[in-house]
Amino acid sequence: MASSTSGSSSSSKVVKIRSSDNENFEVEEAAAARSETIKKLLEDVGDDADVIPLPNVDAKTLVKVMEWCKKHMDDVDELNKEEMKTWDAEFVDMDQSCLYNVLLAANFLNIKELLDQLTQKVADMIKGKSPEEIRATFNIKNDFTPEEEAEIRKQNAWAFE
Amino acid sequence: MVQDGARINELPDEILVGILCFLSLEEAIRTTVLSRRWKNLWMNVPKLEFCWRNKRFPYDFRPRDMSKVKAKVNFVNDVMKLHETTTTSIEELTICLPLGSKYSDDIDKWVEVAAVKRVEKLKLDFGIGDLATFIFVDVVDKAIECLFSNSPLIERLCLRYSQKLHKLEVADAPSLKYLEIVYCDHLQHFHISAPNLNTIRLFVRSGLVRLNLYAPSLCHASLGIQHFYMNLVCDKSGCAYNMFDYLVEYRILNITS
Repeated sequence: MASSTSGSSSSSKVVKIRSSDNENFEVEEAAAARSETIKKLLEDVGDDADVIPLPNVDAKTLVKVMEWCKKHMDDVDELNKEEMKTWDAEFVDMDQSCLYNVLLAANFLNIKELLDQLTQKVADMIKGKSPEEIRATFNIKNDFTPEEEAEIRKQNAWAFE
Repeated sequence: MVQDGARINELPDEILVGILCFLSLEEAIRTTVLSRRWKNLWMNVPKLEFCWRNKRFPYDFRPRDMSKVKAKVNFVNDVMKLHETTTTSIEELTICLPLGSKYSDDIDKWVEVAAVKRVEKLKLDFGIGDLATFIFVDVVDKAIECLFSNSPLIERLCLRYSQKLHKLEVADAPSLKYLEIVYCDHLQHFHISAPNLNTIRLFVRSGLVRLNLYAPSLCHASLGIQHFYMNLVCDKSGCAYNMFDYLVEYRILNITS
């Protein structure tokens, strides 16, 4: 993936990052620095940085995350807020395994805003569903005995009303 | 890395708790039943919000809601008890429930737990109305003082409709930035030293007899006396005097600034 200078940012300083499956990427520093983890690493190594290895993030996921970072590189003005909201909504609309991988990456790379958007997305998938529906949606195996489950429901009866 | 056929259970606790933060407390608690992994997760949500106000008509509790109050108090008690026995932290605690004075022991207990847990934002709102039939609640004087001595990190405090509050003396509330006291009718003596207090909202029905306020950082003050309401934004210099010029009904006023 080549670095893009088509954004509104005039800064075109590029940093190299490497995914867990050894793919190298060149990204604008301003985009990469949306990740507190990368920002910190860049500060630590200064200009001597060759390639920053990210052992927890595979290439496919890294592409997704950097796509988000590029879009969120500059502060959004009022006019673009609506457009950005639409873009964000489309961005988080991905299949579950992809969603979890991007979640893990956002957590590791410490990108708070992206993490919030993704956790909000999962929360929205939980909202309004019965426990059975939630299990089905997320492929959660019920490992309680029927007695245990009944007891938990009883303890929190009002929440299940 | 999560494999295909992805399972949410492969996410670490901190992310799952982050997800629960975006749910209502009821929804978060319903996840206890999903599987063992989820059973106690909701306990780690740092923001506890018990709010049973009718959203459209916040002061309209219909009789059928009132009959459930006891159950809700029990629920809050259960959650507080659970939190007391664990090391989980609570950053924000909100309890909005129409409560009468028979629940004052429960409320004191909640405030006590909030103090032990070093809650930073505490909002207690127990009023109901129809103005003719207020049911009041009672956070007692001691509880609030104890709250600040145990929990100096509190930044926001709202007290509403407490009828047992007579004297409020807080020697030092170093982090307090926002203070709201609404219709605590028997509050006679109010002394607080809050060097970082930025905003104060005070609504009283009749004269608060003695007010002694040390708040050198105060910028915003709203003061209401019965139906008489004003909202003043004061600048930094001499704001206390401008603001209290309006408080002609107060018999004794001590201002330190």
